[in-house]
Formats: sequence, structure tokens, C-alpha cells
Amino acid sequence: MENILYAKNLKKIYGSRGNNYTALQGIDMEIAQGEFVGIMGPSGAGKTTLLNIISTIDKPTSGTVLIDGEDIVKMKDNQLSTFRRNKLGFIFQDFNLLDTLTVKENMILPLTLAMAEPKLIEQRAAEVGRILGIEDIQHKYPYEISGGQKQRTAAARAIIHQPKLILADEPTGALDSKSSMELLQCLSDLNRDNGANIMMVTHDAFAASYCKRIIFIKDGQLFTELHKGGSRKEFFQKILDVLKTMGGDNSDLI
Amino acid sequence: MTLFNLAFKNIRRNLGSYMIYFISMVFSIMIYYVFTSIQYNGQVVALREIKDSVEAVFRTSSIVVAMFAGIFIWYSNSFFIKRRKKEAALYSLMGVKKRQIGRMLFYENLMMGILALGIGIILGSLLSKLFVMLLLRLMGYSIYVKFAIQPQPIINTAVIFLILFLITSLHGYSLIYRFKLIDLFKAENVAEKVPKASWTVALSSIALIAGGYTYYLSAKKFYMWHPLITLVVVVIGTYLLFSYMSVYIIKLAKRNKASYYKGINLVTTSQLMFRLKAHSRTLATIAVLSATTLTAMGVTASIYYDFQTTLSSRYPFSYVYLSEQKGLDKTADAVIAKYPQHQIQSEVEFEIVRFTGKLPDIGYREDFRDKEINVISEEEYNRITEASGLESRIYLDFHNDIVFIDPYNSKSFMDAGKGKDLELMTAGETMSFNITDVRVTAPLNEFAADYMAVVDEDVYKELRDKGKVIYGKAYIVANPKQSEELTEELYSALEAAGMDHSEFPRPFAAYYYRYKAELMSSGLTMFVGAFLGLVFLLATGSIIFFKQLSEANEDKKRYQILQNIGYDKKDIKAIISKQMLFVFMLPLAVGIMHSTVAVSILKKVLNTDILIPLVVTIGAYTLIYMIYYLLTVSEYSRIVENRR
Repeated sequence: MENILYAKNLKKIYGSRGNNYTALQGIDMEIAQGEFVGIMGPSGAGKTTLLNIISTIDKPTSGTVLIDGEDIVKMKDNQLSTFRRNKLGFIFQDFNLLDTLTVKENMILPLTLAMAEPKLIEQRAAEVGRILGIEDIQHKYPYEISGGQKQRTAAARAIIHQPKLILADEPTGALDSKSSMELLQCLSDLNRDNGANIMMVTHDAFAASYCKRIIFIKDGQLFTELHKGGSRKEFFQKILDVLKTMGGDNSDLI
Repeated sequence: MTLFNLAFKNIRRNLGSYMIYFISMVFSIMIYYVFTSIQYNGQVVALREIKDSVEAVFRTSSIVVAMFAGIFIWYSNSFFIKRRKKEAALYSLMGVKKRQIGRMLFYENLMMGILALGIGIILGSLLSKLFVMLLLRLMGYSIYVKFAIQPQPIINTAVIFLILFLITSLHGYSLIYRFKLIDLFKAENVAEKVPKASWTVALSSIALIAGGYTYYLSAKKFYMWHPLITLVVVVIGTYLLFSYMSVYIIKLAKRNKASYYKGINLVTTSQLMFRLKAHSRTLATIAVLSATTLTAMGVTASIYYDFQTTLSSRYPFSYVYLSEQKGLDKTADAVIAKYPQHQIQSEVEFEIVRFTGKLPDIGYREDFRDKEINVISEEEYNRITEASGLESRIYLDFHNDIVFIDPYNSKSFMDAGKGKDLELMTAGETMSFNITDVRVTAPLNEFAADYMAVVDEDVYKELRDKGKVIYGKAYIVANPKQSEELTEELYSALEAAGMDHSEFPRPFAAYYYRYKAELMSSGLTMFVGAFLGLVFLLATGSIIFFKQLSEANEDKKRYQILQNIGYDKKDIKAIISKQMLFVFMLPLAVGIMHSTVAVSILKKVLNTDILIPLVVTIGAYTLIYMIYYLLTVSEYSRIVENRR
């Protein structure tokens, strides 16, 4: 199967001349079609740096990143914007919804930018709204809806243009446990039923247990990898064990 | 570090955002200084003929500048203080007393003011020579202007503006006391409610404006309360228009999915709706201010243009004299012959007969209807217009017909006179004539012959014996604009020869005198109008600039989100440009509309085409206004793109 993401020997060094800080020291990773990958690790492990590089917001010091077969490291700024808008979908911790747009308008933003036909836009909005259970609130403004609904709106925006890869950065960070569960279930369903490829950075072992595979990084290097075997509960336990051996970041284990 | 030091550092740090405010302030001070220094300028005061009007005009306009500058400084000052709410709250949190924060902002403001005052006065003194030269040139003088600095205007300017700064700084000081510490911890923007659109109010705003226009334009006569009512109605309409109509239109635009869902339109349109609603009062104010400025500038420009283009038709002859005595033409010819540079190009002798008459009943004040009326035959009229090169000719059909000429009123007023009667009182009997046509342009120089009546040749012969016969002659000479000496000599020679003042108020109508007088007054109004307009424009532009930039800081997050989901810098810039274009153009368009209607009334009064001066004024205004637009867009984009 073709790889959606292929990263080879990724290095990122901040600072210059003597006062260096190495955030990533040679990371290799791949995401195949149909995967739901979690990235975990203690604070300062390089999760955010990795995500930023894959999001095309930051550039690696060295190494290659291919997304859908295209080398994003070599792209220019304008190409990157176009690439970002066509191939990637983003879900952020703090939702990043525009408060001047309704739920539906927020959802369809990526499509309008791609100059899609209004008919297609309506059709996709209805479809995605149904999948994420936000049809009833589509004419409301963000200040009128709950955090969970906001994040589902953000998720809808991330998938409406059928991107190759959905990048989620702590999507449950600002949600209560019930909303978190609902959102994670949505993401999981999207992955299973719609073949969405998701990469999710998280601190939360519970959130991570919804993934199919988890990559642990520590000090800018791959630490280990976990594949989901049996039930979600068992997987959750395994994740906790890895985190324990990794050390640090204990506060998040609960 | 003392408060004073901190204040100084703050100014240095915020210099960028203060720049526009500072420049506008310096400019207002400079113009105020120039206006006052003209009143004291030795060379201007020495010109006795213009001394009084110059003093009066500049005293009034400098008061207007000071008032406007006061409002502008007050407004910008509270804007700056509100913008630094967070900073003030932070100081407060660290335990700085409000009194101290207030004092710090007070020092800051005062320092800026004094700096602006210094620069304004220095620039003003350096440029005052240039301004005086420009003024005198516009008024038709070519005098070498000496560079001069007088103490009085400096003191005057300094005192007035220090008082202004003191008042506005105190106001700023009081604002600090209204800030609450809790503001620091509150979220920056509590989500705004979606504006409601009420189509009844939206439509009523249109109705108010349209009603005001109709009332204004349909008026036959003008009283003070007439434009006043229009003003109130249209201003209310404008405020409602911006509060409700704008939202309504955008809501309509949103229904058109094909364009609403296209590219950046979704973001632009929806943000615009919130922005227009939130700023509706400012935008309406800008529209009203623009309308005022454009009207003032349009009127002065139209008067100047009217003078430049119509004087030759209103004053076709270089000289016209009237006398009861025959034979003055020999004196006149002899004097003109002495000046080869003012060769006679055309001349015509004429006679008129004078009666007391009653003006037609078309709205003249009743006690003003008994007037002296100068009767002339149609042939004489046509001979005069032929000599002057005017195209007007008169051919009467019936014995009792008459063409009535009133140079004092407008064509639209006079048109009512057609078909009415004009009465002439002769010894013992009253003769009544039927007015078949009316004119507002006199065949002789504008007011030389007052009210005139053109009658049939045979009627004239009958009348000639019953009234007082007056002889006259009209000349056109070369270079009338430079004919000061000839004019003076001709005047005294004719007077010596027996030209009589007791019978006519204006027995001698010289193009040169009229030209000089109109050049002076129109040059003066042009000068004052242009600079007042510029002061207004700068202040207007600055207000809208500040308002948008304060918005930029709040909008930063929105643009960050857009960039995160794949909008590139070009898209962001396009969104900003498009939004700002609406924010700038809507008030300008409404302002242009209002002022065009306001100025259009001049067309009736002046009987001239005002299109050219109006287009030039609006064009110049729009040009400078657009500079503010471009500045705002670039500064806005800079704030938004700055990720920190």
C-alpha cells in the first residue's frame, strides 16, 4: 500500500552558532493509507516540532518529508499554502473557528477557497454535518454552541475537502471527558468508515487509546511504537505502561 | 525610573502608531499658525483694500481650525488611552496607583502636544512666506513677500493649543479612573452578537435621505431653516443607513451562494457585516464629515470657477458709462487713445429711457417692487450684444410685448415672470406690458443698468418723450486685466467731464474693477476653503485609520486561523484590502452623494455649470483619501502578519 506520509532522517536544530538546541535528531516515520496514528511523548520531546514540520508550518534542518508523494521540504511558500489547503486538514486544541461565521460557513471554508461549485459545497456540508452530528446547529454561531460541538465543527472543516492527511493537535485538550469521548469516537469512525488518514498528537493516554498505532518519541528520537491489538481497554493499559517506562510527564497519566 | 522617563520611553516605543496622529496634529497647528500669522503679516495688512476682509476671514477660519483640531485631538487621545487599557491594568496589577498611571499618560500626551506644537510652529513660520505668496497670487497681487516672524501669532498659537492639550490630557486622565482591573483578565473580545437587520428601519433611512434631498432641491426660495431641516433629516438618515441598511445589504448578498461561496468572499462578507455594524457610528460620522468638507470645497471651487469662466459674459465690455449728458464719448475716446496697449476693439453708443416701474408679482418683496427701470429698444439691444459678442438677440412679435432683464436673481426664479405684467409709470398714466421672456444676463456690464426692459422700436419712440433719456457708450479694449492705469484715468476724466453720480449709483462699470474685486474674494475663499478642507480631510482620514488599526489587533487571531488552514499571505492581503475598501468607500460614496446634492443648488444660483469644479474637488479629495486607504491596508496587514 502506498504511504501517505514518508519522513526520513528528520532533524531540527533551533538556534545558531554554539547555542544550539536539537529538537529532533533523525526521526523516520511512515503513515500508510487508512491509518489513525497517535504521537505521544513527554513535554519537550519534539512532538510539536514534528507536527509543525508535517503541517508544513515549519521546515526541518535536514531530512525529507513526502506527503502523498510530494516533497514538502522543497516547496516554496505559495506552493505550501496551496498544498496545505488541498492535501491537509487541521484540528487544533483551541478549535480555531472564526466567530464571524456560522457553523456551516466555518465547515465549508476550505471548499470555498478551492472555488468549488455551490452545489457541491452544499452537498458536502450536508454529508459531513451528518457524519459529525452537527446538522442541527449549522446555522448557529460559535459563541452559541458547546466546546464539543465546536471541536466537531473543526473536525468537519478538517475533512470536508477530503484531505490526504488530517492533523490533530491535542484535539481533546480543551474538552470535558464526555465531549472528548464523542469527538474521539467521531474521529475513529471517520477513520474506519471514510478511510480518513489521521495523525493525532496528544498527551492523553485515553485519547491515544482510540488510535490504531502510537509512536512514542522522547528527546527528539523515536522511543517505541505500539500497535492496537485487542480491545481499547487493553491498549490503554499498554500505553500507560510505555509512558511509565518513558518517565516524565507523569501528571498526565492520572 | 521616574514616571516622566517612562512616559518618554512609551512615546518612543509607540512612535509608529502615533505617527499619523502626530502628523495630523502638526498639520492642524501649522495651518492655524499660518492663518493667524496672515492676520498679522505686515505686507498683507499694508494692502488697505483687502485688510478688513482678510482679517475677518482668517480670524473666523482659524477659530474653525482650532475647534476642529480640538475635537480631533480629543477623539484620538481617548482612542489611544483605550487601546492601552491592558497596559494600564498591568501597571495597576503591579501596584502602581491610578493617579500615577494617569499622570504618566498625562505627561505623555502633553509631551507629544508640545513637540507637535514646536514642529507645527517652526514649519508654519518656514512656510508662511510661501502661503502668503500663494494667497496674494490667488488674490491677484504680484508682490515680493518678505520672510517675517512675528511674536503675536506664535504666542496666539501656543496658548490656544496648550489649552487644547491641557483639556484633552485631563480628559485622558479621567478615563484612567474608569478602567477596572478585572478588564485585564477578561477575554479580549466577548463574541459579538449577530447584528439584526430590520428592513423597515433600513428602508426608512433611504426614505429620510431621499426626502431630505427632495425637500432641498424642490425649494423655490431659501430661508435659513430650509437647509437646516434638510441637514438634520439627512444626517439622521445617514446614521440609520450605516447602522441598518449596510447589515441588510450584506445579509442579502449572503443569499447569493454562487458568489458568497467563492474564494475569499465568505470570510470577507461575513466579517464585513460585523465590522460595519460595530463601526456604523464612526462610518456615518466620516460620511457626514466628508460631505461637509466636500460641500465647502465644492462651493469655493465652484465660485472660483464661475468667476473665471463667466466674468467675460457678465462683464462683456471693458467700460460702460451712463450719463444724462451727451458728448462724453469724446473725452473717453481721447483718454483711451493715449494707451496703445489698450486699443479699442469694439465700441457702441446707445441710449435708454428711464421710468419708475413696478416689478412683476413673482415673489419680490412687496415693498421692493417699485424700482427704476431702464427701457431699451430691441434694435438697440441687438446692436449692443453684437458689439459685445454675446449671442443673445431679441425679436418681439407684438406691440405690447416686453423682455424683462433682472441681473440680481436666478433664472429659475425669473422664469415665473413669463406672462406676467410689468408696469411703467409715466406722467399721469400707468402703462402695462406683457412679459414674453426673461433674462438674467444684462447686455451691458452686469449691474450697470439695473433692471431693464426691452421694447419694440415704435413703442420706444413713444416712450422716449415721456421718461428721462440717458446716453451711454460701451467699449471693449485690449488687455482689460492689466488696465489699471487707463481705468483710473478714464474714471477721473469722465467725472471731470460731468458724469453724474446723483442719478445712478454706478454710472461707470469697468471690467478691471470687477475683475479685481472678484479675484480678491474668490481667491481668498479658494485659499481658505482648500486649506480648511485639507485639515478636515486629514483628521477624517486619521480617525478611520486609527479605528481600523485598533481592530487589527483584535482581528489578529482570526487571520492566524485562516493562515493555519491554508490561506496564504496573498489571500489574507486580498481579504484585508477588500474589507478596507468597503469601510473606506461606503462613507466616501455617501459623502460624495450628499455634497453633490448640496452643491448642485449652486447651479441654480450661479447660473453656471458646476460639473468641472465639482469633479476636480471630488477627485482631489478621493485621491488623498485613497492614500489613507493604502496606508491602512499596509499597516493592517503588517499587524496581522506579525505572529508575535
